[in-house]
Amino acid sequence: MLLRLFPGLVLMLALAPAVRADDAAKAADEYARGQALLKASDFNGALAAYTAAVKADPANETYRHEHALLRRVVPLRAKLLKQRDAEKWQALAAALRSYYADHGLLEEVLRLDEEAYARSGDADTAAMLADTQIRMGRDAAAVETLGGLKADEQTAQTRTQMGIALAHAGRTDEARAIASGLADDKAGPGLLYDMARLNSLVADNAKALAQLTRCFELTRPSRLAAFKEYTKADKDMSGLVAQADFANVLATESKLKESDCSGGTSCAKCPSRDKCAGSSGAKTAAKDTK
Amino acid sequence: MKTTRRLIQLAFLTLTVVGVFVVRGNAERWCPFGGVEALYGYVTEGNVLCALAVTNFFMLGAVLVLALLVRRAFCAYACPIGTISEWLGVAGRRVGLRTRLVPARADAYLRKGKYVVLAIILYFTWTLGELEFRAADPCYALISRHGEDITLWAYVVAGLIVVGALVVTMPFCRWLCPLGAVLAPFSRLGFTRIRRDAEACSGCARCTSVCPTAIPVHMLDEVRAARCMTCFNCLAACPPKRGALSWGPARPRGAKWPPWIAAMAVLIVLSAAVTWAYVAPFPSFTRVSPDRAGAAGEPAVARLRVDGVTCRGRATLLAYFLERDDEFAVDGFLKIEAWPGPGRAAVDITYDAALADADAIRAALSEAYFDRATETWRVSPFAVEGYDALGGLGPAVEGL
Repeated sequence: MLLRLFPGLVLMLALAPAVRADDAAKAADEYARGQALLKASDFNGALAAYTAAVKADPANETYRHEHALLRRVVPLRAKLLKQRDAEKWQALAAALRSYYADHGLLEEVLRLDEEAYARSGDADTAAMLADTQIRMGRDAAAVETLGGLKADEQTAQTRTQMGIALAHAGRTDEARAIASGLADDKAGPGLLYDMARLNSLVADNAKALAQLTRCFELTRPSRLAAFKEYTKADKDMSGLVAQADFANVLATESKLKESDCSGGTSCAKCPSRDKCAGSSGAKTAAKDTK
Repeated sequence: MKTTRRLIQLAFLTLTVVGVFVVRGNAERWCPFGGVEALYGYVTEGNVLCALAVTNFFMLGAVLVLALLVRRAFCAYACPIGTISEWLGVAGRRVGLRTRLVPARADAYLRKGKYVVLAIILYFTWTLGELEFRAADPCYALISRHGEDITLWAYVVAGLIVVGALVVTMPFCRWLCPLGAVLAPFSRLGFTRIRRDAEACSGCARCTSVCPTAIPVHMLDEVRAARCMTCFNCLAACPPKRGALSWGPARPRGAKWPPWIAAMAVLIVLSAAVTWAYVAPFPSFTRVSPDRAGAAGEPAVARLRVDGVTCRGRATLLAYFLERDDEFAVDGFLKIEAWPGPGRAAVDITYDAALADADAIRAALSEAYFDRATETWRVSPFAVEGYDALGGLGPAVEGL
C-alpha cells in the first residue's frame, strides 16, 4: 500500500513549493488589483480582491492588515450616508478621513472635507479642507476656502495655510506679509512645521530653520527619524534642504520623553496605573499592537 | 523514611526540570509564593500580576494546608530549592567541606531575615503591581530558562545560595525564603508534632545535630518551632533502641503516627491542588463593565477561545474592545472573565441578551477599529476561534 502511494507522495512534495509560489504570485496580483480598485474608489471591488489575496496567501501580514481595515471601512461608508446625527456623522467622518488620508485617497478626503466644511463652516474644518486642497495642488481653491473665513474666525493655522497657498500660487509678497505677522512662540509641532514650510517658501530660511528645529524638539523620539525623512522629501522645504545649516537642524534631538506605556506588560512605574484599566493604558496598548 | 523522602524530592525536582526544560512549560505559574504576590491585585483589581495565574493560588492554598497538617513539609519534600540546598549540603560534606555551625543567637537573628525579605517583596510588588524582583530572582532564572528580563544579579544571588548551602545547612530556606515566612504562622499551629520521651532520651543530641533548621530537639519535649520541616532526620538519627522521638498529632498527646503519613499528605494535597486547578479554575482576570453593571436584561455568556490574550494587559485590552465609547462598542457587555496565557485563552463574556449577541461580541473582538484618541486605525490583535474574518460581512459588521 505504502509503495503504491509513494510516487504520489513524492510528486506532491515536489510540487508543493511550486504551488506555494503560484499562490503567492496570485495573492500579489489580487492585492495589486485591490489597490488599483481602491484608487478608483471601487471599495467593494477592492475588498473582494483583498479577500482573494488573503485567501491565497494567508501568512502575508500586509494583505491581512489592509483587508481587515477595508472590511470595516466599507460598511462605515454606507453608514455615513445614512447618519443624521451631526456628532455621530463627525465621528464616522473622522474614521473614514483617517483611512482615506493614510491610503492616499485624496479625492475621497476632499469630498469628506467639503461636506464637513459645508456642515459646520468653522475654522477647523476650513483648515482641514484647505490642507487637503493644498496637498492636491488646488491652491486657488484653498485661498478661496480660507478667504471665506471672517477675521475673527481666522487662526494661526488658517493664516499659515493661506500663506502657503498664496506662495504656491506665486503671490509671494502676500505670503511673506502673512509670514511676518505670525507669532510662533505658542505653536505646537504641527503648526511649527507649517510655519517652517511657509517661511521656506518665502525664502526666510533662518526663521524656517529655527521653527523646524523647535518642531523636531517637540516631536516624540520614536517618530523623529521618519519625520526628518518626510521633511527632506517635502517639496515646500526644498529651499531649506540646500542650506548648510539644514544638516544641523536634522541633527536636532527630541526634548520630549518617550511614552513609558508598555502596553500592559510592565505597569509598575506608570503614574496612571490606578486610573488605567480599560482606559488610557488599554488604548495605548491597542496603539502598540498596530 | 530518608530514602522515601529522597525519592519524593527527586520526583519533584525531575518534574520541575522536565516541565521547564523538556515540556518548556511556565513553571512560574506553579510557584506557591506567586500566589502571595498575586493576592493583593486579585482582591483589589480582580486580576493577577503578569506571568502569574490562578494556579499560584491553588499551590499557595495547598502549601498552607500542608503547613497546618505537617508543618513545613513542603520545603523538605517538594520545593526544588529546598532539595537543591539540602543536596548541596550533603555534597559538600561528601567532598570534605566542614558544615559551619551558626551560633544559636546569630541563627535567631538571621531567621528574622526572611520576614524582612517578605516585607520588602510584598511592599514593592503590591504597591507597584509588578514582580519587581524577578530580574534578580535565582528561582526565576532557572524556571524561565534564563528569561530575557534576567539580570546578572540573579546569578550572583544563585551563586551565593549555592556556595552558602555547601558549608551551611540550607541557609536560604532558613533565613531568607519569603515563603518560609508566610508558612511560619500556619506551621506554628501545625496539627502534628515531633515529640521527645524525656525518660528514654539519653541527651546525645544527635537529633539536634542533624536538624536542618537547627532546632535543639534534644532539649524539647515537643517541637513547636514553626521552622520544623517534618523531614524526620531527627527520628532517623535517634538510636533505635531508645526510640525517644516520635511523630503524631498534637492531640491526643500519646498518639504516634508512622512517618510515611507525612509523605502521603504532601503527595495527596499537592496532587489535589493541581487537579483542582485544572478541573475547576477560577478566572485570573475579571472585569465588570463600569457603565453597564446595572443592565436589566437577561444575562447570557459567550464562551470564547481567543488567540492573543497572553497576559493581564492584553486581557485589559480585550475589555477595552468591548467597552470603548464609539460606534463599535458592544452595548450590553457586562463582564469579562479570562484565563490569559500563551496560545488560545479561554474567555467568558457575560452580556445583556436583550442588547447584544455573541456574534456582535466576536465581531467587536476580531474586526479592526478606529481609535479616536490617536486618530488611527488598528487591526485587532485577537483572533476568536470560529470567527470567519474572511467571510462575508455579517450582520454584526454590516450593522455598525
